[in-house]
Amino acid sequence: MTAKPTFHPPARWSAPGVVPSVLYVGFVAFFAWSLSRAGISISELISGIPAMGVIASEMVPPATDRFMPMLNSVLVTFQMALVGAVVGVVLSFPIAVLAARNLSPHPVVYNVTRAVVSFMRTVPDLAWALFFVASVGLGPFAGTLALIVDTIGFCGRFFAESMEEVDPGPSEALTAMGAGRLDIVACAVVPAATPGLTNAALFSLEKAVRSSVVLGLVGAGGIGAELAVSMEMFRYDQAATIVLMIFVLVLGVERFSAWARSRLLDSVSPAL
Amino acid sequence: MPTSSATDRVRVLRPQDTDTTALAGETHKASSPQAFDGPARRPNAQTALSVTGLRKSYNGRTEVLKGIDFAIDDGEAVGIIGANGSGKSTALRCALRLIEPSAGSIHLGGLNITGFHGKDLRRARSRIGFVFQKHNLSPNLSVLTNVVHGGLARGHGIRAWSQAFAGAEERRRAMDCLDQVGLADLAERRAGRLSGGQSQRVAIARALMQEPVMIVADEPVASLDPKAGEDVMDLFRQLRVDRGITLVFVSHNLEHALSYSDRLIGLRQGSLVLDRPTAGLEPQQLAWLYETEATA
Repeated sequence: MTAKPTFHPPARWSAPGVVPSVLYVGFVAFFAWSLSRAGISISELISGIPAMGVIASEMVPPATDRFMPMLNSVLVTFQMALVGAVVGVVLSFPIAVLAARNLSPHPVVYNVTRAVVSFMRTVPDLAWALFFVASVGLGPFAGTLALIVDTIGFCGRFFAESMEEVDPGPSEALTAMGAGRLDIVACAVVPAATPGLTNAALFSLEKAVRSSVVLGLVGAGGIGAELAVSMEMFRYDQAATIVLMIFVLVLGVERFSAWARSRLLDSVSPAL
Repeated sequence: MPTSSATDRVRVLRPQDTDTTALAGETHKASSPQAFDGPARRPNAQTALSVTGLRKSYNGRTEVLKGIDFAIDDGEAVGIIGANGSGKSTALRCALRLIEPSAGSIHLGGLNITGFHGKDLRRARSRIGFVFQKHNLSPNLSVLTNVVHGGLARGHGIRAWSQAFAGAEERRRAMDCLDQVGLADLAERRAGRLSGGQSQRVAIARALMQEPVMIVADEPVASLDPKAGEDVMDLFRQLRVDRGITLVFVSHNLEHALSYSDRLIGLRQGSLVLDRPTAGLEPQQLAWLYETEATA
């Protein structure tokens, strides 16, 4: 009769290898260097506190003398964001099909599309706004174009990833019955990816609203231009009004987005 | 041609063997499926599906199918059995070229589809209803829309994308198909909210929407409880009777395989080792198909 082998539990922690250890130390050293290069200065922060107090006190009460023009600018900002996001989402859809590994017709198409989408995403929206202001002139059109490109960069990637993550079963079932590629995308992939697509589209709207505020700072239309002028004219009371309007706009869009997300994802449409 | 040592000592049940008590322990030298004297096929029957020398290997090394041959006649019910990893599902998928075989030829309804691509291949598949173990419905769409998708087989395009776009005749046909599987009252329900048995019935209704000449089912009851499994198999039997549909199904349930098929095909480690009529067979006589190589 052989003795029953004794098994010991494995170690609670395993020591990191040489390469992870070097990476950890390297990260800590780089972070320390970054702190020094970021210009962090406690003394300057402390000396700036009185100026902050002055500006804050001048913001109260917020000015209402230009309320209607400001409200109009906020509306333009939202309209830029809405058009930019919706057009961007619509254009993202076919791009995402080409950029999804399981749907792209050829690896070359997949790689090229992914590269284009990555380029659109990695160039900051402010840089796109500067480019379009220089191309089509000052105003909301330049901002809207920047938002479209930025949305494609964002949604193109996340739509493609949502499409890649769907259960391949329904697609296989339609393939087995002889359905075409477009039919499979429409009937199997999109319905399964709908939660991911909805999330990405609504988040892109929130993102576009936040971006559209900043784009005005470089002349691409919207409330950002009003904010820049108020700050340059030391009209902090007007700036406070604008900041409050932006806060209400962004909060409203986020609340709407959350409501729409739950409605869209939980509801069952008998039409489909 | 299978060449591995595994095939050198497999036990082959031949169709003309009638002394079933002798089969269970009988060992034959068999180097290939051609060692069979030939399965019992009906005289003058038209061949619905045949494969010859079907091989599938991954990375040129892992050989899942080692050159199998079989033919299935119109109107026949054939069960495919074998242990996990024996190549049953791969054989079915290769036969419809959902997986590309490494070698071999495939004839579907008299057409050699081995070299078919694009529209030709889609057209060839259009009259084959494939029912999967996991039913593979679109869970976020309604039951009726999932059934309407069966119209994609006949190239209905956007009109088959949703019941909302479908024509009146297609909608009526889809409801008829649902009625045949007993689920017409669930047409508006979201497919993801059905039970496993209901989902499989909807998948069969979707296959019926194709007006199939053959239904190929890959372990259609493996994820169902026994009662739901019986119901689904009874439904297949009824469809054969009513429509004369050819049925090919993979099953791990030997009772089902014996009860619902005219003929059994057995695979073992990628080789075809059994092809004979079901009549007279008992489950215990097929146990050797599931034995490990060391004990076989």
